[in-house]
Amino acid sequence: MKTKLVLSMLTLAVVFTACKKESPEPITGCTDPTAINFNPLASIDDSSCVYDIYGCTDSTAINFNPLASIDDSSCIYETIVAGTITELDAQAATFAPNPPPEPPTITGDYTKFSFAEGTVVEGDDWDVAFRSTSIIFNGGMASDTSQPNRTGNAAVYLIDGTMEDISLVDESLLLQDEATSTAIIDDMGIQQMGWCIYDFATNMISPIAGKILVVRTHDNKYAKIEILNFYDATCTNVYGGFYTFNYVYQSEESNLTF
Amino acid sequence: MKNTLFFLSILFVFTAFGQTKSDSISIKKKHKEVSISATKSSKSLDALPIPGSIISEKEITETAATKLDEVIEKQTGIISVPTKTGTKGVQMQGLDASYIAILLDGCPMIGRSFGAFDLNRISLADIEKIEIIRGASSSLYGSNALGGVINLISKNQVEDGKNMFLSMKYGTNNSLNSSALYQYKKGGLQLSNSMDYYKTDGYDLIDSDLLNTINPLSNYSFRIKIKYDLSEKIILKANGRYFNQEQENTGEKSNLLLEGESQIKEWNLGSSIKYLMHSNFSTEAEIYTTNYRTDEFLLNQNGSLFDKNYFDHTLLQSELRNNFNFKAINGIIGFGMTKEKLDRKYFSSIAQQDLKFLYGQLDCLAFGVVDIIAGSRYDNYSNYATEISNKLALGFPISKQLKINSSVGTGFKIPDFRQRYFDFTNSTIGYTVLGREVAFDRLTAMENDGMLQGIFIPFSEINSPLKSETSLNINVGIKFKVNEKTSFNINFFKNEVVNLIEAQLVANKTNTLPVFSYFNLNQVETKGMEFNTRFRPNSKLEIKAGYQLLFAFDSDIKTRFETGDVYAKDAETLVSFKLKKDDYFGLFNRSRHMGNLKLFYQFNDKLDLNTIITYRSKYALYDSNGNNLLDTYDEFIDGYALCDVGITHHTNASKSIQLGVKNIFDFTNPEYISNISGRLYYINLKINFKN
Repeated sequence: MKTKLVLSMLTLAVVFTACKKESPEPITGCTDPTAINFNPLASIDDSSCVYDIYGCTDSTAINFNPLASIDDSSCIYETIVAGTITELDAQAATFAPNPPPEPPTITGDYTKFSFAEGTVVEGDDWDVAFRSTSIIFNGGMASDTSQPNRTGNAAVYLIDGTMEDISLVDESLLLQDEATSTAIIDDMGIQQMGWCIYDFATNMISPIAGKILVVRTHDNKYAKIEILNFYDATCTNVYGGFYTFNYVYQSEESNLTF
Repeated sequence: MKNTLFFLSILFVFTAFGQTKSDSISIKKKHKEVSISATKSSKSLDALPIPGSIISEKEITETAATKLDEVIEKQTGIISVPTKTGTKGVQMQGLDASYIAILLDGCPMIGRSFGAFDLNRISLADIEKIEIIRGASSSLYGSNALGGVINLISKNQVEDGKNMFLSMKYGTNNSLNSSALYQYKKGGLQLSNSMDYYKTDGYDLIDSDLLNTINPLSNYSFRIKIKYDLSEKIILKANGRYFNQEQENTGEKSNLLLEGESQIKEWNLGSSIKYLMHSNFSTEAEIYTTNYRTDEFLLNQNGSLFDKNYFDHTLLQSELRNNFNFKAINGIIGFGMTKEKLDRKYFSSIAQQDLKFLYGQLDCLAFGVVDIIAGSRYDNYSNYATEISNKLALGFPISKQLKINSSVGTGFKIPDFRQRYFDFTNSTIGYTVLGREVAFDRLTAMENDGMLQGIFIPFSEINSPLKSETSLNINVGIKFKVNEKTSFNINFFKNEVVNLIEAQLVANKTNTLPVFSYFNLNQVETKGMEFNTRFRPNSKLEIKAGYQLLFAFDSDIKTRFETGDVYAKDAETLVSFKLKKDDYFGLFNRSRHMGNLKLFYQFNDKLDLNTIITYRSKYALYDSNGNNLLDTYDEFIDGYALCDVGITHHTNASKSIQLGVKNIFDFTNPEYISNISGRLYYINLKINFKN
């Protein structure tokens, strides 16, 4: 009987202890109120806090931050455009030799090019125009009646170097075309005072190595050009007039680097 | 200072002879090759302390050469190549044709196109040997001998009787060259008559174009020489030469062929009287005149005149030479005057120039061993600054086998008529080139007429005459005779030429077209080494080899490479890149290495074989990467070797027949080398009548 009592006491004790009500468990989560996933119920931080990242959220910008959640207006867009123009047709309409001592007659329209458009243009928003070995800019004064209208403030200088080396504009060197002479001297390559060189043996004109044209465009932006070739692949014209050139254009106003 | 040194050296010569009584020079002359170009009197080539060589009659005969260019281009360090202007000229020690005087029996030949002398004009029918003096020789020969002298010496007859040589050569391209030489001697009278006729159909290396590479041409020349000993002491000489060449002239305009003709007429006349006053003193008065005229025209398709051109150059020279021997000294003192005139298209008036000159040279054997040549020449031009040219050469025998030679000389070339009187406007693109003497007046007139737009060089700088181009030449070399079978010589040379004349932009016309005139601008340097060897293992075989190493560059361009930025365009991308300091190759049309190998084998008395290989390493005529200079990235013309083989059968003492092939491997480079026509076969018959 006594044994029965002990057993029942034990059983009761087991039941009591086993069936005791549990206290509530702590909640884990982000416990930092500055985080965007702050969990006010969480009592234990599980390192899952996510914070706001400020930055450029536009994937077309050069400093686009794929992690940024908030655009902080810091996006920088590429203002530098590089391109290659192949065989721009600037043949003079006629290049007629005359009996000596008369100089040859060169007539025809200039071919106008715009850096902003990256192509040959019509109208007044041109930056540079070509005809045969002559290169003029939309600024300054016309030196010949056959030249196109000038409406801008373009200027230019010629400097020795490679496209990579010349990365900053030296404004003090800029020259504009004048009524008596163009900023880029057109000597047909004979004395190499301009961009090209004439070979008396082969009668071919080729660009001088290491000559970079630094240009202020008609609307005060900057660009640089390296002329690569003066003839088209088939050499349709012995007088050349097909410009192939590399250029780099800084579309941001008054930015002197490119 | 320079002159003081020079006069001191003359003094040295005089004091040196005083202690010696050597008469070895006259003994040495026997069986030795004798040069007269270096001293204007006979001097043994072995004793000559300046770099010189002789092309013997044997070599001329063996190679079946009938014109000067055929034999000259086989010599070490000498090439005859078309230049950028298309004219063919000879190059020596890296200096081009306008600096090398061509003489016929000591008298200057004229008639150059852009400074180059066409060596095909000179027949070898009556030539005994060709002497070549390398390096500045203005101290004897004045202007044009800045780089050296090529002197053709005609045959002299020693024995009484008649002598007649006939030769007939026929070969590829329907080329025919026949010549006859008649010599007669009786006592004091010597007569030599020669005639040469040459014709060729020319050749065309590029079939696809309208023009031939070389148009058909024919030429003939006559030469007569008379020598008469009036007495034992007085010798009279007279000579005359006439040359005439006709060649088809063609041109191209708008893909149509223009045809015409070009003609060259040239004559030379000379006479002299020599008085052998004493065994130690002789004097000779000589008068010489020559005229060279070319006429050429091109007609349009309809027969009307397209272009006409002429060039008429005359030279008259009188000279008095005095030779003396005093103990071991041979001396020469000469003076004279030269009148020259040139009338040509693009000259507004006939250009003239007078010159008075005085020269003296001593050669002697000092202390019985040291060969000394010291010379000086004074040139006084009517409208130019005077020029003084000096030369000092010393030869030291170290042993019987070895001799060290050294020479220092100055040379000059006065501005040519084109650089002074040219008045030319290009009809295709319209630029104008003005000679320095006409530039000031023409430019001032243009300015007054409002024809000028920009002036880049003040006219005051053009109002003074051009300076002569001058050079300093140094040679140091050894001659080494290893044994009876083997000998060689090495010569290190250096030429510094300053005040080179180049055209430069002076002004722009209102149509932006440029006006050029000539200025003293550049400075070039050529230096290198020449090596020649001869090996004769037995009486049947002779081997000769020659090599020249050459560095030739423009000093200003070299400085630009060292200090500044020089760029070139990449051949593929055409994008510019910066060149490094050692990317400068040097002057155009210069090969770093040139060599030749000559082999002569005599099978027996009747049959012999002759082989010549000449080699020239890569060079370039034009810039190809946009910097107007020659760098290692430029396109070069590949080096090439030419091989000639000839076999001669001596039927008897007076008859021989030669068969041969020139350029046996048929090398051509149609694009760049117009004067190498491909394989040429020839047959050459020679007959000698004697009684």
